[in-house]
Amino acid sequence: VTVFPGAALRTFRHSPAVWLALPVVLMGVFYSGDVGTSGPPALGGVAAYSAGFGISPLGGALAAFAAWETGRLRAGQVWRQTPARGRYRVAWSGLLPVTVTALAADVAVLAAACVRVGAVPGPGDLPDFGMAVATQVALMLVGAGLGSVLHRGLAVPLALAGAMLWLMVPPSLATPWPRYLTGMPLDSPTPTDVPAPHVLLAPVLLAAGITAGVLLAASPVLQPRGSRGRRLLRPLVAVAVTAAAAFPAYALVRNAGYDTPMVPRAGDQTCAGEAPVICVPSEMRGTIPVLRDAAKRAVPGLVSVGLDRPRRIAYVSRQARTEPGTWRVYVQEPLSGQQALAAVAEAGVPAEPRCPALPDDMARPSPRPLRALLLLAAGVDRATVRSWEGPAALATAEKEEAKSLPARRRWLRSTRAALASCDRATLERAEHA
Amino acid sequence: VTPWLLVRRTWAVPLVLAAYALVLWAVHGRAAAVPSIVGDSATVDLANFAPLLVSLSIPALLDLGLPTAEVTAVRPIAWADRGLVLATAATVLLLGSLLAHADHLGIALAAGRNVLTLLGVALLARRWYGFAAATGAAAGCLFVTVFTGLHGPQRPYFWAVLLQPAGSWPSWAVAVTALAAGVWAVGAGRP
Repeated sequence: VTVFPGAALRTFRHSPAVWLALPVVLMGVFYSGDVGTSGPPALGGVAAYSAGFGISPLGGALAAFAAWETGRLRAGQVWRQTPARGRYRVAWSGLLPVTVTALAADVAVLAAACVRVGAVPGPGDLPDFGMAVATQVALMLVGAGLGSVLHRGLAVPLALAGAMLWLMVPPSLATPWPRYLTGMPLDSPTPTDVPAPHVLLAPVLLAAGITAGVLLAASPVLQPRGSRGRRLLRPLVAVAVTAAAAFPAYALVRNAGYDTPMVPRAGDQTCAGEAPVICVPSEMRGTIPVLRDAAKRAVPGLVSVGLDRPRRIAYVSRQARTEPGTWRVYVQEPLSGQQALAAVAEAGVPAEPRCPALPDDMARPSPRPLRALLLLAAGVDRATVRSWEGPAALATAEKEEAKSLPARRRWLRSTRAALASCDRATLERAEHA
Repeated sequence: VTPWLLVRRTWAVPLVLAAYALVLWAVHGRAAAVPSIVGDSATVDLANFAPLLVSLSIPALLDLGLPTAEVTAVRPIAWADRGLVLATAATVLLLGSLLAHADHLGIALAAGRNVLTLLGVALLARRWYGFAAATGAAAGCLFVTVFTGLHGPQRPYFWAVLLQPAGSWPSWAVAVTALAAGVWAVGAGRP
């Protein structure tokens, strides 16, 4: 491999890297600022996602740049002759300015994202960014491949247009799965959830296939010796290797919907207190005292309307398994006392389930009356409950509030069951009730 | 004329135009979010990218020549080249009108107008800086307009002539002027 200082350094003199690097870096920093600004807490994963999002559109410029650089080698008829150095080594020298530009842009965009978000990604946060880098490398190699076989006049715009359309078109399709193959991070991680590993792996697999395809097609073993058959072998090998990676990549994401599939974040939680224990992601440990005060005020009232006493109140992923007796809450920073009270009360409202077997227009019971009852029981004043949930929901809640404990428990149980149900009969019964 | 037809590979022009029409038909009504530099969420009709097919191919075909033979030729090579450009432009406009009327594809007419603009820009750049600059100018013109020319979903600034609807007369004026300049540039400067 070419040593960095020395002859390779001279390639910069003839390369557009000198004037292209700054616009590319600025463009990446600008795009990374478009996302990841949802506020505290400062998460390293959000910084990595934001940087990955920022460097994705640079793939077009870098692919075009790579096509230009390898086009220079083609124009010099380097590939037709028998260079003393290996072909990969020659290509690496040619692509060195592109690689350095890409590296500078990636590092600058990641640093800018860290400063803006206020957190540095740990090793577990980097897959989002790694996926974008892998795609960038693959696009650069496709550009280099185009520059090696076509005139620069065609290779450069084709590389630019192809790479940009690859990034822009799949997310606009009605079929959701192609958007997960572009390598552009689509949804930000949250304090409790991160993109599923298989969704991040799919574009990396495809990028690896494309990279291997281009490298194999350029292999000296497959160089044409005149016959048409030998000449066709190179594109055939490239397509076969890419397809071999594309099929498993497709299999990984074919069932993904419009929202990026997420999994619970494997991070540490900070827990404090007893009866109930309050648990939140460590980055949000500042909310524990507010939540503890809210729990002290709200839990007795919530138990009195019929909920079981919690052993733990936790802000965890909806998909995470929890111990029996855990109330799942959703909190955001900054957290006021009133918001914490509402969060604890709403822990008694089941999340709406996904019911693929039911028709889209199937009527579901409204959670508002249950939420209104729980907010009243938690100690939120009636005027606030009316403004949040509406007068009709408040009236229903007041009617249930006036009933005996066993009757209220029955209503609570049946309403919660209906809200969490995917059973058509249960939902129809709740609708008629 | 026969050597000119062969050397310029004019048989490829109908193929390019067929591909152009096919792409227009295939992507009509489809918009994609673009990484806009000035707008929050900019979307652009994918048909806006179809003109690149023609405006990259024609300069590529014109570049296939036998310079030494052409310089000393008595046949009007430059006029034949200009004829090729004008015939292509006319066919693109005809295709746009047909698609616009038959399939209510209004964007096809705007795409035809954009072919005229980008082809003119490419031919002008080719006149002074060669083929690589020609295609770079056409593609650069389109992508810079797409990235900076929208201030909302499908809402172009007045100067983004490539993103204006088919009924925008200033855009047509720019297109015709660009094509006229491009046609002049073909063969201009030859001894």
